[in-house]
Amino acid sequence: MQPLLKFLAASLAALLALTATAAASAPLPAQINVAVEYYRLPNGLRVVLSRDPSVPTSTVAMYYHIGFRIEPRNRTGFAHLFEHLMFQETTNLAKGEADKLVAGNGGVANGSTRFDYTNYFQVVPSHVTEPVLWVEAERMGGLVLSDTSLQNQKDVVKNEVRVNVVNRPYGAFPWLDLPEHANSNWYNAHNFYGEFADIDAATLEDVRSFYDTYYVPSNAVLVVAGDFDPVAVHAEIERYFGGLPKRPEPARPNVTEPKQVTERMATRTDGLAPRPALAFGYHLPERNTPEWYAFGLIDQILLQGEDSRLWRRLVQERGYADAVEGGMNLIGNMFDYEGPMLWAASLVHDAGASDAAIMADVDDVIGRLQRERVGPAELERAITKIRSALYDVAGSSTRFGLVDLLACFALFDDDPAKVNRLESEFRKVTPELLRATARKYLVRGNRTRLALLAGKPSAGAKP
Amino acid sequence: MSGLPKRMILAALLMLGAGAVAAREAPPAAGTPRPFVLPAKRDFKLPNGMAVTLVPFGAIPKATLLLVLRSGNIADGSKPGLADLATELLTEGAGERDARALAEFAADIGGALEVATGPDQTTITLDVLAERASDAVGVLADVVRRPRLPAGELARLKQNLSRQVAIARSQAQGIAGEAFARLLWGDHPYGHELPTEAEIALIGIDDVRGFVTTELGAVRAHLYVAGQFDAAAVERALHARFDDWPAGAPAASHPPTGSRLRTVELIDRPGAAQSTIVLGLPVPGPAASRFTGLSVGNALLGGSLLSRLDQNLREDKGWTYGAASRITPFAAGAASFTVTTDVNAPDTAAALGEIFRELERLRTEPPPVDELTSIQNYRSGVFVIGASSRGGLLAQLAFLELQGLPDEWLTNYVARIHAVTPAEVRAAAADYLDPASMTLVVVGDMQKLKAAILALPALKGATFR
Repeated sequence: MQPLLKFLAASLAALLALTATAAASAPLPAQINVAVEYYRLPNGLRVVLSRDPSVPTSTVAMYYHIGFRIEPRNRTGFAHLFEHLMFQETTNLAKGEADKLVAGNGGVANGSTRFDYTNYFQVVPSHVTEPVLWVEAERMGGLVLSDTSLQNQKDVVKNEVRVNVVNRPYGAFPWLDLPEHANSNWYNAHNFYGEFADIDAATLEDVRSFYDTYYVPSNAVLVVAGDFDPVAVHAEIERYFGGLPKRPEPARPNVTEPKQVTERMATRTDGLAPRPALAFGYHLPERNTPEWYAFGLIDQILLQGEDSRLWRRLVQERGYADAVEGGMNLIGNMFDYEGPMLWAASLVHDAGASDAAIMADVDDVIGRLQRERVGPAELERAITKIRSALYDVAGSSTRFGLVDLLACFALFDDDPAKVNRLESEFRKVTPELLRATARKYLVRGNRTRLALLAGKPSAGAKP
Repeated sequence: MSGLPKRMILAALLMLGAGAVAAREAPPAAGTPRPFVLPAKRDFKLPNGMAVTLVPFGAIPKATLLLVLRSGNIADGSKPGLADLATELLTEGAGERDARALAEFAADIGGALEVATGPDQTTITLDVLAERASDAVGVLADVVRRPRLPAGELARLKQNLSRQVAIARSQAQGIAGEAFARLLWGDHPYGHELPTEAEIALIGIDDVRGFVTTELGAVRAHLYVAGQFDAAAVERALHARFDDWPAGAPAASHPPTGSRLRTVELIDRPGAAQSTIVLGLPVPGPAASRFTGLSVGNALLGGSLLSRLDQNLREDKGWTYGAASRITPFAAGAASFTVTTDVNAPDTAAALGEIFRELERLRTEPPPVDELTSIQNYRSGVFVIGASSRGGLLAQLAFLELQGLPDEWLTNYVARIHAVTPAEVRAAAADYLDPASMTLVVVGDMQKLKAAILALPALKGATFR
């Protein structure tokens, strides 16, 4: 779990601009308006095309509708381990050749495993679009498994967990820890990174079965965004993916979370941490409901940015911490998950600040949101923050944010064009709905608190 | 100064494998690369010497304003951490707005004020909706010209800095990085990455006010605007808000002398599951004539997806999640080369042996042409990808400014990368990456590991600390 695209981040600092578009005189759009073409192949593969030739690059992403949430019960961490294996060998590509094909032609590639999907994506100079489509078809249709690769990637994944969690203060806090305590259903509450015993126990048979079940055309969406030839890309997609056999869509277990009615409190000691920390999370309304959009605005008003109410109280006025951070979905955003989710916030503070004092301030800030309607200026500011972020999603040079939304809206809602209607959905939220949502969801019975106690700084304790 | 560790994302890094295998279906050929055009920009100076660069750019209605100030921890003097606190205090209210009003106004125009203190540069960034670019100019002018510097907020900011420093020192990578910088740069400010609690305690509001008075001024400033914006309106706002800013004194140059001694520091972290390794030395900066050959060699070794270190230590051995090498440029022609990795504790000595072996291979064998071509394509391609990012563009322009490099450094970038030959890569590595001149820091469970590290042949003759 490195910061996404470690190499790209370094490289982006070494770049220069290319397209010069006439500035400023064009009328400003009311909200983002990206091109969306959506269809399915006969084998069930969803395809989303979003053309934008303003920069000579394209982004190709394959999202599979399988995340760590529903990985096998005795195989924690398996969805992520499997993601690593997808970068090993295929029928026509020896180990490493896929990466050489992408990076050696000037592209960047990566993958990630989240609650409800696993993705594989690359951004390349646009003349490399077709070879990358072929690579994704190779992965979907011809993964080659070997004991050597499996053992190698088990070692790599365990070292990933060591560097990000075991040997790192606050490594699991709160993104791994909080869901374990806040949820009751195993699917939402297990160790998503994986117990080492489970990682070690994984067999090639497990891998084959997982691949055959979840990595099928009907359980995936292919997104191509950026500068491509629309006629050619249709033909290429048909050529490389059309021949893959239709397979049944996998069954989905019940991931419903029972309604929480009593506040939960948890504590754990982090032997590497020099300061205590506190996290709190609330179960969110169901996706796509008016209340859920209202919560998107509540998140902006309470938690996003130094203008937010919790920042002002906890950081600016009280000085408990140098930041309070969080949101809807701690390892993604409010749009790229499907199952139950928390709105969560956390801060690292000094020993002198008690959890009780911090939570009293949190309750006071939330209480005001439950008593008083938000005024028009603050509501408009919340929408402005969302719009400004959406512009950058639509106009980013990698388009990773855009393909993420298109893929998730296709997989979860069968409606990728929804990306163009987001701002109008937020605009439907009234101050009354916002207050009612705060009253219904931001209640103690719906909350989980996790206190991290600082251990001895020099101790090498495991989390 | 780093803050909290970024929250993590499940992500797999990709690796490069061995050569091609016959009798397989070949991938479709790539098409013809399309040319790309550098954006037109306009550079000018205000009457007081402040530099301005306007870059109409991109297809979305946003603009990024980046104000680069030639100051940073290099100017801490006897008060390490002073630059960090001064920069933080700039956003605690300016002009007619207190801290809250400043944050709210920044959000109203579509952005957030972000300040960052570096060793040589301090940056203030505001990313806003296109139609509010002129308002953003006013905010930046207030922050650097009319900061309130409220004394009442200093204690809180000092406490924040102390907490951040404590957290940095609890991370194995923070511990290793701090020790490495101290060994490499000695008493120079580059060698003092983190202030101590005692040093932070000594800083008072008068120090901060003095720093702001001395270090902020028009001749130290370069404002970049990139994106969509009304250029005429922005220019009017610039003149109105900045023309009468006093020029101030130019930044002094403090070139460091980096250590070339073979020094090893082993830092005990009892029970650590991994060992954190930093190995490196001073190298010539980007203005040096052979820098491109060196940077391509660095990319081959550990600076890209196709790196030998990752291929070896990760994809072959499984000892690590990743190993990287990088060149970090400072001002005044200084730079450092470092190899960094976190390896499974029992494999520490073996991993060090492999790192030294890879360095030796780079220094003795010209790289195969196909490997070099892949790296050159990678570097060029990533250059194109980042070309449409306002942030990437501005970071690069600020880099040119710091290094005193002309625009041609960018416009010739792709051609320069592709002109590097295998012999040049080998020669640059041989001349600049001698392990006998490198400093090594390892943070790990030394009770278990020390003997094996001490016995490494590559460290024979090194000074152990």
